[in-house]
Amino acid sequence: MSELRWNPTLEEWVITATHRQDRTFFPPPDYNPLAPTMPGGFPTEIPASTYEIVVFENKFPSLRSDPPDPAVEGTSLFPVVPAQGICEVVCYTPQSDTELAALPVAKVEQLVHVWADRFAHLSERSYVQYVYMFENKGREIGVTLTHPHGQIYAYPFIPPTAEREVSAARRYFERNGRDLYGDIVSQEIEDGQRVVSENAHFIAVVPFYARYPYEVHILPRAVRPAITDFDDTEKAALAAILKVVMEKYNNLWQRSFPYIMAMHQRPCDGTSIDYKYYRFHIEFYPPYRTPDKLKYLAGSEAGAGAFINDTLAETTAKTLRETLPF
Amino acid sequence: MRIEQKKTRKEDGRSLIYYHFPATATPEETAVFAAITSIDPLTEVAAGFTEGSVSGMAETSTVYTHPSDASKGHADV
Repeated sequence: MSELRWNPTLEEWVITATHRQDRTFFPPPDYNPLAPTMPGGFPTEIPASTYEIVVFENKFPSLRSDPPDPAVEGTSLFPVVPAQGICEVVCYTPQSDTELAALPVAKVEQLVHVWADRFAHLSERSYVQYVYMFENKGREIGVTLTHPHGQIYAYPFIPPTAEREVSAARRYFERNGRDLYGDIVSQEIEDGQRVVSENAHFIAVVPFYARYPYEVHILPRAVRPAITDFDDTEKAALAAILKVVMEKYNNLWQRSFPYIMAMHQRPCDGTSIDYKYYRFHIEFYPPYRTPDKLKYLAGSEAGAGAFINDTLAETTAKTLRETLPF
Repeated sequence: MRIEQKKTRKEDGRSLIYYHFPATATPEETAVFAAITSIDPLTEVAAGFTEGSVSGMAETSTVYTHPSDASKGHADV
């Protein structure tokens, strides 16, 4: 069963998806559902002997285009609605024993084009308010399939973090006549201490307000509210800086570095012109604060929403900046 | 970048989209893609962005809008 339950105390939707308890959990290599289907082998999600990049609807979706009726009846205090939306899986490569950071930059560039294509298509659906692309990498994050893949959630509402970011950017623009992310980019470049990498179209920084020790944000230098706003040159530049950041992560402690990669862009209830005060960006949240210590979301973070970062952004940015590749 | 895609349906009705990149595909990948039967006509991913401008902003004022931005409310597919 899945449904949206309204939390009136925080004014946000909670998605229930009880069927996800049964999803595939670390299958043996011969039963990897994201691998190509080999002749005579286990029938995977992809009935072909190879592929380049594939996107398919999640077998265990939190949101679906034809959702079931809610399991309970709502009230005016506790509204309940069907969990309508789309959940997709993006398989980057048919190879199971690799990861996005290890793929050629040309492959990452192809993936950027696929993301843009999915944003364009999913945002056209009448019930979709927000298209969110992300990757969970590593057991520490709760990954249940190690095959390199990401996910796309097309929500029927604007999720709280996006709503808060967009609202803050709108208010900043109304007050100052400039876009917030443009000022952030300018200040980070001018200061330089938190810059991890940069190219002609993007910068990667440990933001001034980082919540995680090795949190990195990739920001465009120009106003681009959605991934569909990038031209081919900018898409290539995004792929290049993505690969640099992910390789730096892996080189930091000489091992595959877990993270959540979150893509933030404008909602789908308007055009990029309507959201001229906001910019697409990618945020990485790595769970480790040292090579052997995890950053747990504990009392202050989970209970009060107030993050405590055990490090200075300037320090971790310097470490990442001095880690290969330059 | 030239991109092609074929949309298929799995037995349980879920969509499955194969993306193909002719410039970098191996002969095997090209052959496999060619053999896939799409439920839609062969689609090339649109690269036709329309440039628009936003007034009152600094040098970073150009916004590119995708044709799909023009409206919402299309029939669900």
